[in-house]
Amino acid sequence: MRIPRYTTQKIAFGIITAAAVGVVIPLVLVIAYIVVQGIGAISWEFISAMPRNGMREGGILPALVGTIWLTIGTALTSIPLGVGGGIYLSEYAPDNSLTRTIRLAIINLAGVPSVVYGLFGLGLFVIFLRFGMSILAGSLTLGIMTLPVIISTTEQALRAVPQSFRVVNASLGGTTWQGIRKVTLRQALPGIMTGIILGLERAAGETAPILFTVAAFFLPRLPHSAFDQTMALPYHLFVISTQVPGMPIQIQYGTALVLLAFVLTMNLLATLIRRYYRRRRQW
Amino acid sequence: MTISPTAKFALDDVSYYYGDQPALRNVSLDIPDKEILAVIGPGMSGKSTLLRILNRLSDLATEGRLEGRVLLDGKDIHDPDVSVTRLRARVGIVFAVPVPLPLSIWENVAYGPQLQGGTSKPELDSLVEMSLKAAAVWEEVKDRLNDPAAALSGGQQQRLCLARVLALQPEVILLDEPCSGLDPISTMKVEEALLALKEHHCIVIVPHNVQQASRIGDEVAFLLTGELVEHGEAEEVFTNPRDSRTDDYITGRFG
Repeated sequence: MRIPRYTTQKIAFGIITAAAVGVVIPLVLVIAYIVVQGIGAISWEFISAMPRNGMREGGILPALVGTIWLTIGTALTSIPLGVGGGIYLSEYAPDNSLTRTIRLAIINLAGVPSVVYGLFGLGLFVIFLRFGMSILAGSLTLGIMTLPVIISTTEQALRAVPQSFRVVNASLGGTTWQGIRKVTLRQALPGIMTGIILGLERAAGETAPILFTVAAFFLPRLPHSAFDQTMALPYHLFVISTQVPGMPIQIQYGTALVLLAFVLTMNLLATLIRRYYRRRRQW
Repeated sequence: MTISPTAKFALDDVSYYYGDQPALRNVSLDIPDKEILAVIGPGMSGKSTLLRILNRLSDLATEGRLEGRVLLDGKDIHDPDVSVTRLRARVGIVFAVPVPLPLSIWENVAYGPQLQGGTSKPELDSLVEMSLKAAAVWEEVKDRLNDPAAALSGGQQQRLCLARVLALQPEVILLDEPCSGLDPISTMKVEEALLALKEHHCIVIVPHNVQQASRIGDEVAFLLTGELVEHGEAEEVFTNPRDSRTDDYITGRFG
């Protein structure tokens, strides 16, 4: 017996809808759980004070500040290189073996486990280049880890811009760079922004790459320069969850909540920026 | 080869290949200044390729290869000291499908001069107005120059694209079936604009049909599978073609 096609349509629609809803459930659960468990720890003191009594009391200020600095450092290293690389691959790269090698390298770079980046950073930045355990070394390590995401989203966003715009630019006597600056890049900007934020979010939440390159177990003061070690939220969360006996659960979840809020704020910011550019563009 | 003194462009035994596929074969052609040359022929006869060679837009095709010489005012446009961006500003092109850049109307028209640099805002303003007027679209857009160009109708977009080329103050204007998507009234406006423009420009058009060629062409070149079959005064070609294939084409026996 054949099932009527309207019935199969309804079944398919039901399954697909269920899948879409299924995506949302874990996210909501995770956020709800962390908020419920951690909200009690949140206070002005919690985000503005140094940890005390073996981190069992006080606040998480140095970890929060450390993560902010690391995110800024990561942005400074990965955005120019990543966006530049994406522009090269999309607009300039000839289709030859060098280009194919670069693409292959980027794909592989994206697949490298983050702890390997950590070891690489330790070897190159901390020891060989003598940066020591420092915000500089940590930012560079996170920056390299973030590169593949930014490069590929930049390239894809640029490729989505119609080829006819490039031809028109050339036909009006524009150089490739003029076309990129005046038309292509402006069109691709929202997509590029998304890639940058996604990459930075991931970097902000990573533990393994900063483990050997910057993160301090317990350092109750704020960093003074790029050559200082610092605490960072993800590593701090790991420490207080596994390394400190008698740790109040609430502080653990409070820390997780702050990290989550930090990342979601970046997300919100990206959405707002994107919407701003869309509105300005209008076509 | 002798170049007639009034020739703006001279093609000297030009062949063009996409990969191994020839698109133009041994074409020699003088293109007169201050006249309209209509390049006619059936599809795939090399008309668009011919236009794109004239401002080296054909360079963008990575598989393309040119043989022969193309002279603009007697100077080979492939000489190493020729700036291709400057050449394209001197030889503007309008495409079959209008592509307004994702910018405002004003920015679209000012785009070309701004690329070259050295033009002040007031100068650009008057250049934009002049160009839009010459392209017969000023009255329709003058109150919304800052609106997105993409919001215009198809006919307006095509005239905007013509204005965008005129703002370059080019010596030569190439048009690749500029009226193919236009209604008769817009077509008439574009044709009127072209007839006025030929006073000061060399114009090469691929018309979208033979009728258009006869309406506005001073000279006609007939291409067939990459070969220049016939070239002469429009009157002459249309009333008394020398080659039977030209006769067959213009009388509608094929194409």
